[in-house]
Amino acid sequence: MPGRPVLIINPRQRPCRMSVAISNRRLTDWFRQWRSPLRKFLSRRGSVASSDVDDISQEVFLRLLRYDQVELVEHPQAYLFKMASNVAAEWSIRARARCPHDSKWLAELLSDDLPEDAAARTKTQEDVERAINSLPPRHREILKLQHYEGLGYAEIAARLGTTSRSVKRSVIKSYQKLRTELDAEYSRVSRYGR
Amino acid sequence: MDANERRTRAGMEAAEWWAEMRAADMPRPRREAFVAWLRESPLHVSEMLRVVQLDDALGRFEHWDRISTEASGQNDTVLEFSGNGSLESSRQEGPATAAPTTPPRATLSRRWLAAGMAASSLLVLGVSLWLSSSGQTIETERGERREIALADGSVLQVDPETRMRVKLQEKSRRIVLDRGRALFRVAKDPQRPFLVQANGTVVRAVGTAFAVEHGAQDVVVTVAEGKVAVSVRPRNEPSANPELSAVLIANEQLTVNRSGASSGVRRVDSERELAWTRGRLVFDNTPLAQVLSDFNRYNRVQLRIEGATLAARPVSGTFDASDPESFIAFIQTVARVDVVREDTGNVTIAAAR
Repeated sequence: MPGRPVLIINPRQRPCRMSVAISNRRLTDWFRQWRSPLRKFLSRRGSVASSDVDDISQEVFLRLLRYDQVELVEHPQAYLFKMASNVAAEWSIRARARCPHDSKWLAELLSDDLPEDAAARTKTQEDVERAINSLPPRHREILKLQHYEGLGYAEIAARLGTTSRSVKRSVIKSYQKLRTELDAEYSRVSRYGR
Repeated sequence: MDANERRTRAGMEAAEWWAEMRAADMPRPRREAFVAWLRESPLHVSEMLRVVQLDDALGRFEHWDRISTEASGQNDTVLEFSGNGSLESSRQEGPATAAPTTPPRATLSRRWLAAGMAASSLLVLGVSLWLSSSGQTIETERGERREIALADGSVLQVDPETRMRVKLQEKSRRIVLDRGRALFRVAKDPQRPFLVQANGTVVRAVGTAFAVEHGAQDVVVTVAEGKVAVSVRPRNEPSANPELSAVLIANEQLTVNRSGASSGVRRVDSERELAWTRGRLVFDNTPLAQVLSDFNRYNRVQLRIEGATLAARPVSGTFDASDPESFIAFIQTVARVDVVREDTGNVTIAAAR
């Protein structure tokens, strides 16, 4: 089993400037543009181990410190996602150079499709379903309206006869709970699944 | 606050930020606050990415139609039968959930402010950080001090002219201190021991605060809180048995010289010994030449001395490391000296003629 990939980054290399064209895009569009390498990295089996996300984050954090504050403030989310996907991509390239024989893994990283096979995909869907079902019904309903029906906080609030503030609070609580649930799930997988 | 609590809080803050940016475009002051928050800790970056990952997973979830929103729906899990679900939802209506919707900014911005003040009184050159095959390297220059939070929640206070390599691994957290000194506030993680190596001396800690100084002659380990184990190995034989090992508790210090010998554990006042971590320099009958060289490490303005007698003159007292002017004023009152200021800002102190 090859060792964990190691990042080698030129200290003088700065992230390239982002085009102005991005400035008018909304948050979700930004994320959609940058998420592919990030998702590929984050959703790989065994890579969800918390230490890996932490390692990526450590490098992203250092880049944020080096980066010009004024530019960051313009589109912080876009820069965050771009840096994270850059780090994930560089990480993959380095890993490829280090572990040339791990060809299946390589193929997954290079393909545009999601790296999961059907079984892993089903497993992920089950994990997410189980986590959602661990939430109280009201929180489930709000998440469903948000993601299934694509409603905003205000629309959800109107539908349920409450305030957007309370909808937002519910979403925050749900995310917090789901994060803990899924993290436990993944660490169990990575601990026993190797 | 331990590492888990820090992570939980960071996770909550990340979810709040995500909810805020999902709701609407953030105005400039909020974006500034968001950048400041991200730049506070890699933990914040990490939790933010996890929230994004989660949001992505929910977006790709294919069975929303199966998700029941009725309290007693047929798809309910075992968890609900145990009553947890209804407990949660009844709590939702109560005052307990009236949690602040904005991150607890007060403590964070205070820390931010403190960091800003430290930066303004020092020449902060931007720490040279990069990653190499041997881990991440942290290097500070003359006049540069830095506080760095690692992804595991540990915090390093790095003195000027220090170089170290950090490797956070699954089974251990390793730091190789090549030169200089740093204070390590270690986040508790019994599964991953925290090891600091300096020239054959290895300090092992699990949740504690201690400093290691790698000087030209010695390695000095000082413990502020908790307990650490120190072992010394022959330099070129990492697999050999330790030649010396000791357990240090709070307010104890061990000095190991280049050849790996030590005069034993000393009882010290760690507050005083670690005054440098708070930007203070403490001298006790220290020769003036040494005092100036200490000041020079912390400042852009360099102090020079003329005359062997003056250089050997002992000095005692506590000073602000980033304020050489106060020290110059002090030395002028206790000794007859001439102070010459050059155009570059550097200062020469000579015996008065």
